[in-house]
Formats: sequence, C-alpha cells, structure tokens
Amino acid sequence: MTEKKKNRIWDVLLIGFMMFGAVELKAQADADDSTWVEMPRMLQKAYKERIVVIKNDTITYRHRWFIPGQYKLQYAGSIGLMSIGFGYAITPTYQPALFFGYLSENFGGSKNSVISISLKNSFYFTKQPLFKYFKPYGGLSINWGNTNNTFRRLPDYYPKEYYFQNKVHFYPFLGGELKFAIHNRYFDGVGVYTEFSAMDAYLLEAIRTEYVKPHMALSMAIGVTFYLR
Amino acid sequence: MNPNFSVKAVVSTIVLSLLFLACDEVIEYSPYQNIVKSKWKKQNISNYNKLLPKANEPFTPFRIGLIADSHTYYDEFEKQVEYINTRDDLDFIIHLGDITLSANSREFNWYSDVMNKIKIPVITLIGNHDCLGNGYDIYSEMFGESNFFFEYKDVKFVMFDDIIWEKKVSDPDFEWFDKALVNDSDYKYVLPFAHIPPWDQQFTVGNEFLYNQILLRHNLDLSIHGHGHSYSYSQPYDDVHYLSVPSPERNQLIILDVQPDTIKHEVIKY
Repeated sequence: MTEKKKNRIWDVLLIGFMMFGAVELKAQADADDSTWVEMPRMLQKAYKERIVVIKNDTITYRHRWFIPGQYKLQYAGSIGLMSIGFGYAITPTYQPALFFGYLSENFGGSKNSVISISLKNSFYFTKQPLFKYFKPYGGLSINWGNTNNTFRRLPDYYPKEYYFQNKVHFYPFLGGELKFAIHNRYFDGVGVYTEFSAMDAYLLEAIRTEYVKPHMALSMAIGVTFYLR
Repeated sequence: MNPNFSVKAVVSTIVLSLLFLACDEVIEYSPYQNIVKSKWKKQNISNYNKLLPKANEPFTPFRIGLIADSHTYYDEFEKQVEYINTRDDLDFIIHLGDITLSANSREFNWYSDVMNKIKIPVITLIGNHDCLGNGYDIYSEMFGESNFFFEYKDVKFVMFDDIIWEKKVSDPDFEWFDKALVNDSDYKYVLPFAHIPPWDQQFTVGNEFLYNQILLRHNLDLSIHGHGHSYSYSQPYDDVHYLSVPSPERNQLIILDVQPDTIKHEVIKY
C-alpha cells in the first residue's frame, strides 16, 4: 500500500470517528427528549429502560455510564496538532479521557502524518475548585504513536533487545483548568485547561544529561472541555 | 460567576500561554513530527557552501576532523565540540552518523544545536538510529539526501547510506555507491564514508563481500565508518584499510591528514 493511500485511510477513519462522536452526542441530547429511537441500534440496546423491583418499590433506570460526560478539544501536547477527547468522571478526583489526535502536512505542517491515541489519566488534586474556578490536576498519559517505523515488537531480523519499542510512550503531566458553569441544553459546564507533559525519553535525557534542561523536556497543551449535563 | 474575575482569569491564561508559546520547543505536535526549523534545513548543502570557494581550489594538503555516534551523549559531545573549537588546523568536520538515539524530533534539534557550536562546517552522515520513526525523512529535510558526494580540493568524498534493517531494505544502494566511487575528474583521492562497517550483522555475507569488492574494483585503500563507538584501524579483508571513528564518550578526536602522497590519521586524546 502506498503511503498516500495509507494516509487517506487514516483520514477516513479519523473523520468517521469524529462523526461517531457527533452522533453519540446527538443521541444523548435526543435521549433527554425521550426521542431516543433515533440512536444507533447498539446504543438503543444499552440505553433501554430496565426495571428492578426491590420489595415494594419498582425502580426504572437507564444505563448511561458508557456515554462520556466530558468532550475535549485540545491543541498540541505531543498528540497531534489537534485532538478530540472523551472523558469520564469515574470519581470526583479520577477522571480519565481517551484522545484521538492527528497531524499531517496540511494539518500541522509535518511532512509525515501521525495518528496518536492517548489515554490521559487525570487526578484532580482538590474536590472543590480553588478560588471558585481553578482545578489543578496531574497524572500519567499513555500515548500510542502511529507513523512510519514505529513498533511495539521488533521485527524478526533484529537481534534480541536491539532497540526498545518506540510506539508507546509515557508522559507524566501537570495542569490546571478553569471551569465555569454554563446554561445550555446539553452542557452545564465549560473548562479551559493548560497542561505540561514530558515524554519518558526526553525526561530521561533531562535527568541524565546536563545539556538537556528540565524545561526542554516539556510539551504544552491547551484545550477546552465541555461537561455534559 | 463574578464577571470581572472570569475575564481576568481568561486573560491571564491567554497571556501565560502566549509567554510559553514564545519558547518554541514547548509546543510539540508529536515526538515523531517532521517539522524542521527553516534555519536548520538542508544543512549539508549550506555547510558545504561555506567551504566554497576553497573547495574548488587545486589540491593542497589539508586536515579534517572525524566524529561519530553522538546519540544522546550531549555533555560528552559538547566537550568534543569545545575541543574542536580550540584547534585551528582543521578545514571541516565529518560526523559519521547516529546523531540521535530514537530519532525523536527534539533529538534532531538538540544535535543541530550542539553541532552548530562548531566553528567550522560539519557534514553529517545518516546512521541506523536516525532511521527509526520518521527519522529518515527528518534527516532528509534537515541535512539533504542520504547518499551524496562532494569534492574538496581535488578529493572526492563519497557519503554512502548503508542502513538496512531500519530502512526495511535488503541491500544498500550498491549501484549508486559503485557509480559514485568512479574517479571521474582526476581526483587525487576518492574517500568512501559510511555509518555501518561491512562486517556488522546488518550486512549479509554477500553484502559484506560486495562492499569490499567494490572498493577493490576502484583501487581504494581506505574506508571510514562509525557505528562501533570505538577507534579501530585494520585490514579485515587483507587489502583495504578500515578506519572506525569513536563516539564522544571516548574523549578522542580522529584527525584525517590528507597529504600529497598518503593519507594519515591521528587519534587525539583530549
């Protein structure tokens, strides 16, 4: 397969994924209006009414854990020129998000395109925001980079352990978000965040050498989060 | 929400972000990105241009410095650069490849940053580590073609890209190498340089034999390599001499002394 064809397939997959995200959002909105028939069949099944009878009480409920509560759009941060993220508030402090990022010649100016998938494990340091709006957080990202010549397992012709794998990298990060309440049909909050992460390989050089100063390992990201009602 | 506070908060966030944007490296789209700063594009060409018009002069004896495998030994590399800058007898430097460890974008930048502290021009070969990720394409943007030759004072320098595994090819481009080694202009010497020496495990028995055979066909006596991280000078196949250039952590600099009747080399411990 030529490089161009491969890139096109990635483009299509990415756009497909974004559309899926949009459909999912719409499905959630529609569900609130009790017109959830329009949801994709897979979601309809998961979202259908369930009834539990406990003694004399009948409880009707719908699962919605699978619908991400946070939608993020991020600039830079080593996972593409732009990336979209879907986050879950598992607990008030642990709020992971899955990001899909893209970079190419026309989208970021890199002669080689890169598709990144990142699992960002964010831990908020405070349950309540500081100064009413500010929420500091930190954690560890696991980033997968898909581009030329990245590998998890070395091709057979290399001697054992000739190279360390170069597809998955760990990024510790620290950041802060300003979160505001908004009055919207679908969202009740919007956050603007900035964070600094450091790739494991760069961090190692910052520790190991005098030449690489700690700030030279940092990568900044700026993003917005929309919080679903 | 206090509108004054939120405006202040947003403005200060933007100002802070812009401040950080000012230090350019902090914005990275991917460690695999191929975005080369304009000042660092095609440096082998711009550095060769710095050797002009001297490069076109007829032969007079000259000396050059050979370095290799700087990887991420930045402190040792800086020490080497410092030593090179104390000498005034060298015309230029050749780096024999492996300028990065994992070919991440910042490793290329850090190499260029340290290398450009050398006061004389540097010509950079490609190494096997530089071909991981998008390294091959980044190298091409930053330095130029990976197979190239140039002349300097009636000596032809042939720079051969002999990377196999990392480029996912079965053989290096021996046809190009064979043509490039032709002494087509009454050169006093033709000097081949390649990162990997032919006895390395990347070379099949056939490739190893062919490499040496091509040199014999062109009546060449010296082949210069990196990759091994230590100095050696030997005749593993009887005729041709193979010179291996050490990496910076050895605190050595190889000086190639090109004389009218012979080419000598010196190992300087600094």
